[in-house]
Amino acid sequence: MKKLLYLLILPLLFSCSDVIPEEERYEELPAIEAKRRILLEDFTGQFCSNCPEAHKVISELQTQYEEDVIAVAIHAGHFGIAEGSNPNIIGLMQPEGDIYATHWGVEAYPIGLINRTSGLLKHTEWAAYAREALNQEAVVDIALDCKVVDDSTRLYINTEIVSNVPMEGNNLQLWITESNINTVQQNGGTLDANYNHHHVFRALVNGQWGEAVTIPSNTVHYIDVRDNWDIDNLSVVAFVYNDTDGVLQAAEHHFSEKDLTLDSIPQGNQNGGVVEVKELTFLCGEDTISNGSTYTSSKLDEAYTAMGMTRFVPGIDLVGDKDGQVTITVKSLNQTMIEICAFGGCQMTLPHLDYSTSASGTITAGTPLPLEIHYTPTMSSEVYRAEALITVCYDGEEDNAASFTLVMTNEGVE
Amino acid sequence: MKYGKQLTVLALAGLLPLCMAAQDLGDESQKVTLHGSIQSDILVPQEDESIGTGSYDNWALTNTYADLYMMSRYVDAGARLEFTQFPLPGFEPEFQGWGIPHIYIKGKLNGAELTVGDMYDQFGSGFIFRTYEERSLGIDNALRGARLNLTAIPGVQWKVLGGVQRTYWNWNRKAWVAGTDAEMNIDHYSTAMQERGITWMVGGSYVLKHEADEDIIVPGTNLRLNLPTNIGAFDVRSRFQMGNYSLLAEYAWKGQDPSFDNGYTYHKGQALMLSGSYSTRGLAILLQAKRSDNMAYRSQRSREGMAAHINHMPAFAYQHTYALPALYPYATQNADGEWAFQGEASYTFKRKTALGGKYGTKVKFNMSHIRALDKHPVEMNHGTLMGTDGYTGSFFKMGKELYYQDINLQLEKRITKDFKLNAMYMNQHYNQTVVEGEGGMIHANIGVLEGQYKINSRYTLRSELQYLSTRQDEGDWCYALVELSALPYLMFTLSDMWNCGVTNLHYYMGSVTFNYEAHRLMLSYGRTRAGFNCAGGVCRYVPASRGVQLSYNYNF
Repeated sequence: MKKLLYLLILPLLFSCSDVIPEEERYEELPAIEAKRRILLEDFTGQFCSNCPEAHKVISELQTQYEEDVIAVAIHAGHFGIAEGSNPNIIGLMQPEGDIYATHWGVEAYPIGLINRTSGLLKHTEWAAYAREALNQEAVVDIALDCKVVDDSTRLYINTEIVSNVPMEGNNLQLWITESNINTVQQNGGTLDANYNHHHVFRALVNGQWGEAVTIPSNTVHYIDVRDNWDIDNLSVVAFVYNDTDGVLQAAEHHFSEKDLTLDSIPQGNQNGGVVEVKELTFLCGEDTISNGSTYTSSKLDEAYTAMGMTRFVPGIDLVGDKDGQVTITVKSLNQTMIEICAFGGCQMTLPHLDYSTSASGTITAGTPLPLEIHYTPTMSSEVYRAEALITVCYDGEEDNAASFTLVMTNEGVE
Repeated sequence: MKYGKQLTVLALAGLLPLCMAAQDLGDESQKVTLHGSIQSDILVPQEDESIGTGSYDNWALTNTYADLYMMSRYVDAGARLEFTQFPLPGFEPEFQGWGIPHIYIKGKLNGAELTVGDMYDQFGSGFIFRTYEERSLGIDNALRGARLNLTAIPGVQWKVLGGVQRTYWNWNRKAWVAGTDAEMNIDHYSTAMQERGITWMVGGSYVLKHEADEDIIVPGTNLRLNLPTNIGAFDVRSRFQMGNYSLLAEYAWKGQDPSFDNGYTYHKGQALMLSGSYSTRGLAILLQAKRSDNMAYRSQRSREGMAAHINHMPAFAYQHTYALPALYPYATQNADGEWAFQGEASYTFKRKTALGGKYGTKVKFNMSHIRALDKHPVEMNHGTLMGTDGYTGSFFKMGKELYYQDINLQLEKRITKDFKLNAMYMNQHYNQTVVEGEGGMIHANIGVLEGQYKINSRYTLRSELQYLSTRQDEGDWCYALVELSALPYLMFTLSDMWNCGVTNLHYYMGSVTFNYEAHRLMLSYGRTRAGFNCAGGVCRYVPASRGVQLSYNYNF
């Protein structure tokens, strides 16, 4: 029996479980002076019930460190809702988001990446890592000068990279993000139909993985403003990174009314420090259509007119400096259905495709290619008007696109 | 990998002389026996966009295990080789790897056993300690260290163990776990009890976990949480058995354990279980109640997913084997806590009675009801519950939210000498939001009909028809299965799970199984449905799959 008692007492010797009273649970650490800005990539989804907790952490960090914590919510994976996939729900997931998620091996949500050096971190680990990351010296800085141009249809982004160390082997990545989007989000046990989403990744500006940095560097990019974007809530996020050291520096520009200045707006078709597309030109008969301009045509198809119908046939041709595969995008700006027949097939800007369509094919240098862009109004009216943004670029050279706004109308014509 | 290989060499080196020594003695009792098994599942996957399979990097995937155990009078030893370098779909990323992660040697002498190496064990019902292996989920939380079992004292079983826990291919040395468990059979000391056929077991255990400190900062502040590095838990239990009655009571307590699972709150954990059963010839009744609160106990506080659990709270919902009743399986809410009730009654109507029929009829009724605890969150500190006690609540009160309810009635009846019929009706409430993260409450009615017909001494035909009716999620499902056994070697199965409600997809499966002595080989082709695997507040999507699967099992 004595042996028994000993055996029972022994466990009591193990009783050293820590008990921490309420007043001793927090340790005040010295405040951090941010020496650089950090990038936090938040992999999230609209059906992910725990993701709002991660959003809350970002909100707290941004309140504490303000502009020094740059966050981007990348919707991806099976908890995401793809943009345009559901007619009743605004989806925030872009296909590029899934490419990033697959690359980093994201499987569980929510999860994040800080400066691409942290490894996949849970949101409860972000605050500690951010503290360390903000305290690192910066070797490079990024200055962004952004404007809204071409009658609020395009964004002009001028990125300047300043560094006192060689920048070979680094890439500059530019993203467009948008805040204040109210749409569905699973929040714990409830499905919130009107959740306020912030810093949502909307589009790439310069490719999936960015482009090589060159110093002295002052690169200019243009990106079309999509119909479902609200310019007042857009931001440009820029960061310089490489595969070994992660993100070296990040910067963000929030678009505001100040960016809509009328003087010295760098138009898409002006020279002087602006990337000018020389290789691809639009023609209409003898006229050359300037890049970035608006071209109005009221030319009608006589055969249709003879039958009492109206069909606009402006007769736009495309000519390029070199042989190559091109993609022509037609986007109706006033929800009209416009047809393009090129490369042996016809496409139409249909409502469920966001009034946008494209055609791809090969062109030969110097040979004008008729684009056969037509507009046939379906409803009878006195005045017809179709506005479309026509863009073309050689495949792989999306930054070097030529575009113009085509207006087909019978306004003011007898 | 280096670590594993060194251990293998050591173990094999240790085994050899022992084998030799044992055989040298030439005594019957010095016999050395070898046991083992090989289990290999190979999938040649195909991409199928309609069911949403991903794309695959490898042309074949496999989970293969090979175990070898040696037993002798004084020494036991064992090792396992795992090859999951190209794992089957549905496992966590860290599961990938290969090597010898399980190896042990056990010395036995005079009622004492010392094990060194990797070990599986359980204290009581597992409330504070359970290390085990569950290959289909990729779970293996074995402890690598040492264990001492003492059975020398009559009527008492005592063990003490300690070590570092396995998390996939890592043995985290920043954390260790130690524990002790003692069970005493009081009836051993009382002849009066023994005469009456009473057994009474009383047991208790204690576990201590130590983990190095880490920085957890309250977001938006400069406050670092003062985390406990030593977290203990204890468990007491008693099982009383008299005649046809049996009663089990168990209580467990866990100290402050702020972790990712509970949002880094300092609430203590508790579990209480009462289980009573009555069984006699033809009748069995079981009633159970369990309350568990904040009992997620891991060796790594910031870990999520399947790994690093020290304990395992038993499931309180009936584990269904039929396909459609198992479509919405409930996952025990360890961190959140739950109130769970289960009742089961089975009765056999005797043969040649009105209800029994010619051969007798067995009826089984089972009900489980699981709901939330009564919880009231405390005031937040700096906009979060991190560092607080999390919540308060009355012990015996229940929360409003229903997590899971399952009421089912099963009937087994032999109609003729050759034909047996099983029927089941089930009514299920499954809170998809709580278990998977979203989806609301799924209310389903399920019917199952199974018939087994013995054609002759060689051939038996078994067939199942199932139907699940629900208005939520993907709507109704239909299931049919036909199985032909051709004794002694072959079995053919054909099945289809059809979503007749919403997607109209067929998840078909055909297989051939070949059994020969201790070998079993199965070749199948078909589609597997996608699903969500949720553990500890993080959900992982497991994609659907389609392809040829080869499974091989061998035991010796």
